[in-house]
Amino acid sequence: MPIIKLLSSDEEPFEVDVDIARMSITLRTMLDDLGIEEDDGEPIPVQNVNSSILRKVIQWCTYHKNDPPTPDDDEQREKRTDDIPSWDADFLKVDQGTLFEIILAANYLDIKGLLDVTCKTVANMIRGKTPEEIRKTFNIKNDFTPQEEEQIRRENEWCEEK
Amino acid sequence: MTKITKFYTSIRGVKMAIPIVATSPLGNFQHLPNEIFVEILRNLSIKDLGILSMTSSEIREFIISTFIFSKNGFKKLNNYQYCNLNTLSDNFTCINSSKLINEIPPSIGYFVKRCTLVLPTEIRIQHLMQIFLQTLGTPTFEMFQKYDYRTAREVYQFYGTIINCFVSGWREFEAYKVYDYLYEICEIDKKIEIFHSITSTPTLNLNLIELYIRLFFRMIFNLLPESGITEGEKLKWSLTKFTTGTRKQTAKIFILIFGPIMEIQNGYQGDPKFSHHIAWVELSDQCFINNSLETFGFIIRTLYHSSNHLNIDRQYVFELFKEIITIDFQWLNKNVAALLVYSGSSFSNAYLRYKFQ
Repeated sequence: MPIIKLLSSDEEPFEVDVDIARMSITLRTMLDDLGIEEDDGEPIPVQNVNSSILRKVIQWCTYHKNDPPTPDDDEQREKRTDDIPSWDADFLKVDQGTLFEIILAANYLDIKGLLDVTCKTVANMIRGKTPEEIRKTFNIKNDFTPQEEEQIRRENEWCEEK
Repeated sequence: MTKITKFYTSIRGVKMAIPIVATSPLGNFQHLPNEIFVEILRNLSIKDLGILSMTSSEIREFIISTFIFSKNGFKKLNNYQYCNLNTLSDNFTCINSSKLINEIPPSIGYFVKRCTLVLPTEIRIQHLMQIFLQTLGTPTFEMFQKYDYRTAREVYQFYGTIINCFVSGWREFEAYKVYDYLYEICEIDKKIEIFHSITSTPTLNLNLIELYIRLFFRMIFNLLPESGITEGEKLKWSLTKFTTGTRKQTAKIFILIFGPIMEIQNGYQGDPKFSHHIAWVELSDQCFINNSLETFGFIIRTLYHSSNHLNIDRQYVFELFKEIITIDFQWLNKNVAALLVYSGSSFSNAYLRYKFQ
């Protein structure tokens, strides 16, 4: 199996199967454009991803290397958040800072499957919570005045779906 | 290495290492690019999205601009909760009716409500109108004409539920602003003028106008779900629109909106567009003792019991009733009796006492 070297933003090298690296559309495009098929001694810098996050991304890609390709986003398709595989759920039991960094890395490296599952995980952290609980979870500053807050609370009482 | 570095400089840089400490109105979401935040929001149910919009004004603005005011924004909402609303226009009649009435419109109504809490009423109305534009359109006569009557009835009931959820818990004068706005953009006053001006030889177009006026007011009167705006309060608003003409004209409007309706098999002259009409003539020679007069009776009862609130005297209600049962001709006695029964014993006893004085 051909291997290539990736270099994290904090300059830690990672040896990765080419097939696993190619799960990232960003890396795949680059490998194709530059005609790189295997390690030529020159590490590929992944400038925006530090070593701890890159390790996690590689771990996720390694586990999912045999998955079928993620279908393109379809706006008509129902989105569900209760279908996260248990391995992924355990894998994403990390602090929120790390989770957001994995999201950014998945976005930067263009790994759709990882991006989907991390977005769903964040959505699940919002789901079923009150505004105050959401604020607390995501450090959101409440910028409503106490009067507005009271008005919101009163009118929201009418919003309970019967 | 140069080639590779060059390649990377062409990719948009994203700052990493997120400091999850300080608070801001966007909270930790400020560290994510907008498109990722949208992607997260698209995984939420419409209810959770509405609740999230209550956390800070900045998040609310983001949700509003993404899902209400951007082109096709409403279509980005998670379909799971609103059952392919994208194709609602084409498939309206195919949607499971209990979902159509009990689930989808309340969730939309409460969503707009939550997203616009504490904004001025005029702005809130604009948001509601935007939702209408993003779903089936503004409920004007032009929109009405796109559907056969049976579908149009469901569409206007659908809108009625959205509107009633939207204004739930409001003070009546604020809710009236919504009704007034709709009344104006739907040009109902012009339609009522046409309705009153044609006194003979009814035309097919008049028939459509009649049905449209009926559905418009029924949209406002939508009884589901409980909105806190009582029927008396809706009636109070409606009376300001009904009672501008003679008592006979007011009586006709009452029949038009609350009276029974007739269905013609396959439509008039085979045109399904003209499948229904108001039972103007039939009330004089056909029996409607089943539930066709129940709603009408409920309205008379509300009118009678809320007369103080509506600033009308009870004699006016009796006179109006007397007028109603002679349009176009004297109603069949059975129909008069049924309407009295549905109007409640207080009203019917008082009316009979008044009549035989």
